[in-house]
Amino acid sequence: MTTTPAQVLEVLARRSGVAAIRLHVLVADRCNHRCGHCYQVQGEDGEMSLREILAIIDRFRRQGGLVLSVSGGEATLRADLVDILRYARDAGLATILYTNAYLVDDSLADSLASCDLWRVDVSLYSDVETAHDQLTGISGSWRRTVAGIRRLAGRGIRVQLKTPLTTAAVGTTFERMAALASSLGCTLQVFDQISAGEDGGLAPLEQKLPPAEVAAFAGGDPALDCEAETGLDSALLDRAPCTIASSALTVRSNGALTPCTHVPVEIANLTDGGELEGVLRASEVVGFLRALTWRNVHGCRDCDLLSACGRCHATALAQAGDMLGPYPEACELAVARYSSTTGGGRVPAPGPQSGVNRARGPFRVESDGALTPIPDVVTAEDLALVSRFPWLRGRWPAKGSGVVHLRRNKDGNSLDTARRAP
Amino acid sequence: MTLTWNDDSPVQRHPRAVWRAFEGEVAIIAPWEGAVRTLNHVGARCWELADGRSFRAIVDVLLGEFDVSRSVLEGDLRAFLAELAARELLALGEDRP
Ligand code: SF4
Ligand code: SF4
Repeated sequence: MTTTPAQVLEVLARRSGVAAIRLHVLVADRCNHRCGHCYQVQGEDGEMSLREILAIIDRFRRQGGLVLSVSGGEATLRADLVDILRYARDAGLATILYTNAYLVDDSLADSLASCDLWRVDVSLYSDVETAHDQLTGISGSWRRTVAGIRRLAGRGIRVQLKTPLTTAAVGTTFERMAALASSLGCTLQVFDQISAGEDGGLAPLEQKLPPAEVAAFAGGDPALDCEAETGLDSALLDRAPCTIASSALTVRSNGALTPCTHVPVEIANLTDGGELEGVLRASEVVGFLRALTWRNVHGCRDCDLLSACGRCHATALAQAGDMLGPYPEACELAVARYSSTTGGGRVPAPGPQSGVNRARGPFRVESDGALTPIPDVVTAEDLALVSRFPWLRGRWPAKGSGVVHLRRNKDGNSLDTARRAP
Repeated sequence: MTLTWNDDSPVQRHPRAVWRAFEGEVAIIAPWEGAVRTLNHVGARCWELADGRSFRAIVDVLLGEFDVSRSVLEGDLRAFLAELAARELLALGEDRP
């Protein structure tokens, strides 16, 4: 199995002793697309000024940061985007830009080429124009995005197409997307997880490519194949379920530092100053999330499909009201992945066994390859964690309330003030 | 291209390579490739020393830090530098600042 740069960064994040090795900064709280699967709620947080963003870059670099990724909303809507990227690069950081490339004309492409970016990731949902445009809600977006990609790649910038498997991918295949990427001089990343909205809304999940079609689409993509073997071993159970609070650390557009793009718990607001290292080391939430392993995820730790599963704590909270347990979307996808590689995966008809939810795991793989749902055992230790961190359970808090202390920055920046000079 | 290092050859990291030293290792990212490269303890030390000083100066520092003969060290260092050069991580020719 090949190791991706993201996996190397996660390993480094955990063993380097550096508080934050990678930081993801959302610089824009607005977008020029209306993608149906987008997890974000925009226009409520406000945006940091250029000065505030550069101060965060300084603090990130000082404590040993290596990679800064910049996203939005749509980052190219900020007039000072190039200043941000150039500053990060001059500070000795490897930089990644996430964009839909809709606004990348020759002038912006020239400016971005001068920023010595490590990579630009561009969302492209299909090789079929109309399918892409339908998902983005913007007529002509496919053409402009592809034109933007050509401008970037033509200037020697490394571009990666990012294709989440949404309804826009119905009727296309991995091979076709790979051929398109290759013709544009790009690499391709396809992923099959769509997350719930950051407000806990489940509408984005409705845009997900149905599991049976995901398996068909992914037939040619080794990165999406589940491991052929199933079952549990202690090495897997001792691993972290995801990159939360380590290489996924995120600064939202208003300066709120959160464990990742999706988990709405504010660690601190970085516009308030303070060294990043001190903030992270003092945070009980960060310590807890970094120490999480599969052993903390009830149900999943007993599930034979664990190695085929791509569950996300944030979507678990939104869909099942429990951040550290199974949820239907993930179970359905894991069963589909398992079925596509083994031909098995049928879940037998309900039996008399109590305490079993047939819509979701954990599952046991029987000797004939069939799957049997088994009880989801919740222990006293699991409940003790919930008492310590009540936000692990319950209704997803609405933005601006409860656990989610997201707010506008001190200056109450409107969208336009982010364009002012420092 | 075959690269050779004599005693006076300057050895210089590529100026566009982003890197960070951690406890006992170095991570390197070059904008022109997708990979994150990591070097172990010995490689990390060589990389840190590759600041434009001469091949001989690097050998002299390493001899003081590692229990190894000069001839073995020089051979190992040449092989290591060839690997870095193959990955375009060293400043050669016009890349030299
Ligand atoms: S129980 Fe569901 S969410 Fe958990 S590992 Fe199994 S398939 Fe995945
Ligand atoms: S909780 Fe979900 S979005 Fe956050 S790092 Fe884990 S998998 Fe990614």
